[in-house]
Amino acid sequence: MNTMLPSQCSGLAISSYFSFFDGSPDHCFFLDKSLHILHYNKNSSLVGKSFSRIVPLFDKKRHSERLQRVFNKQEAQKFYLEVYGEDSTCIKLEVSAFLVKAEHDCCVLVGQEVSDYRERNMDLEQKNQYLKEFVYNATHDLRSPLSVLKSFVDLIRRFDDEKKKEMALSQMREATINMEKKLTGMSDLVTMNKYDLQPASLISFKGIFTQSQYLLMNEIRDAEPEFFTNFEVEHIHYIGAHLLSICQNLLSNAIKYRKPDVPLCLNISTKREGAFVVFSVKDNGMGMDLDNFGHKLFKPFQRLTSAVKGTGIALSMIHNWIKRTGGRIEVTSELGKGSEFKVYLKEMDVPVEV
Amino acid sequence: MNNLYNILFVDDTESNIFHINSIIELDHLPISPSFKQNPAEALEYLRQLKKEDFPDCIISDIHMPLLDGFEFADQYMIEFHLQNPETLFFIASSSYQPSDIEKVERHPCIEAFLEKPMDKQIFEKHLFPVLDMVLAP
Repeated sequence: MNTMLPSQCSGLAISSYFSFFDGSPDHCFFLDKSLHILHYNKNSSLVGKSFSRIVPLFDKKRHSERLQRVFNKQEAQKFYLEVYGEDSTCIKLEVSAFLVKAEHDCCVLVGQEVSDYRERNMDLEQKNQYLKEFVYNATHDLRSPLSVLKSFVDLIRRFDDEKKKEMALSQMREATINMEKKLTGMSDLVTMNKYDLQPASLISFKGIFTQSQYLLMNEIRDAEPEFFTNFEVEHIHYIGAHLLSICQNLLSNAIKYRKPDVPLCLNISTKREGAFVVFSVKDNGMGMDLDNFGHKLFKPFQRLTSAVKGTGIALSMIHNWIKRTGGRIEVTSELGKGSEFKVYLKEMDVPVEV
Repeated sequence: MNNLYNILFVDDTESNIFHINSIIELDHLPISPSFKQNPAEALEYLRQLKKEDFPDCIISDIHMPLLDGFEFADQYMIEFHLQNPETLFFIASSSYQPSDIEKVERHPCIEAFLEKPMDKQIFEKHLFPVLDMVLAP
């Protein structure tokens, strides 16, 4: 018999499969059941590491569910996968994942790099999906305060008690403010896209930081954070309005989600890493449960806490621009200890003056 | 004597809780309500309940921080649904979205979708008769 389906190849040691793929132009991963890398034909230094470490945060949950299906239901899977290469660049792969039974079960992923044309198609798909989610969430977010208003308009006439009437009125006032905030956030989301048309120029991180501090004057006055800055990289070619918004949003989040009983410390730094300039904002705030809810962090209108008021728009917005310019955001966080947001920025082309 | 419906409401919006309390009072609805602000709190609460205190009905919002109403239903199904088949689980939302309705219809332990704001009619026409059918000896 010449052909063997992978899942039928029992009896051989798993390591004897590794060399099959060594000469292949495709990317080939072998994963064990806990999703650790047993072999990777393109980079042996990743062996022993967790597969989720090389996958973007917002994909982790989806991919690990998929791979569990390969193990548990022995279902082969076909999907798109983004992984980080050695120099922190992102590689897009179209992979097939299937089970190989050897001395223990093992999942093999064989992935082909996605060409330009297909990549554009994927981008469109992603944008479409994003728009769908946006409309779905926007509709809900506006309807919910509207429904509160509707219910209280009826109620208020039926209350005899002046105190209850007053309470209903204040709930209505809050609902209108809530609605207004959400509308403002949405129009920000839409209008900020026009800055895409602005040319990039040489921007100073220190200048951006000072401007953000100015814009957040009131928040800073209330929270009295202590700032530590270390700009190893002082400048970057980027769209100023975007970088300002990124910096302002990360600082504002760090202030908003601080611990009420601990003085806030903020470390803001830049450094070079491979092809990227990494802009980092690190706090000692409330922290987040990323293992369970990380996949929701950058989705529009999703919120990870009800302890502090927010609209769930800002992070999703900056995440989108950064991705569009070839960068990414990495987040590490621990509940009760704090968070670090690392923004990987790619230098943009500056138009040559004639 | 206790012929009040024991209903657990899961909703993160304070105004909605105030509203439910008000209509129970103004319309004299036969409901003994409890409220939890999010699914995690609700699950924790249900775990501690004795079987005889388990609610007749759970009404959950969809959009909440962390777990949403459907993820709540998933977890509820795993932990409680089989042991408490007579407790009915409803999803309530102010936006009537086809994709949500589809999810409600497909979910094995969600009874139906209720549109917010909830009023006397919704309770009397759509909720109490269903609960009576299940609770009838």
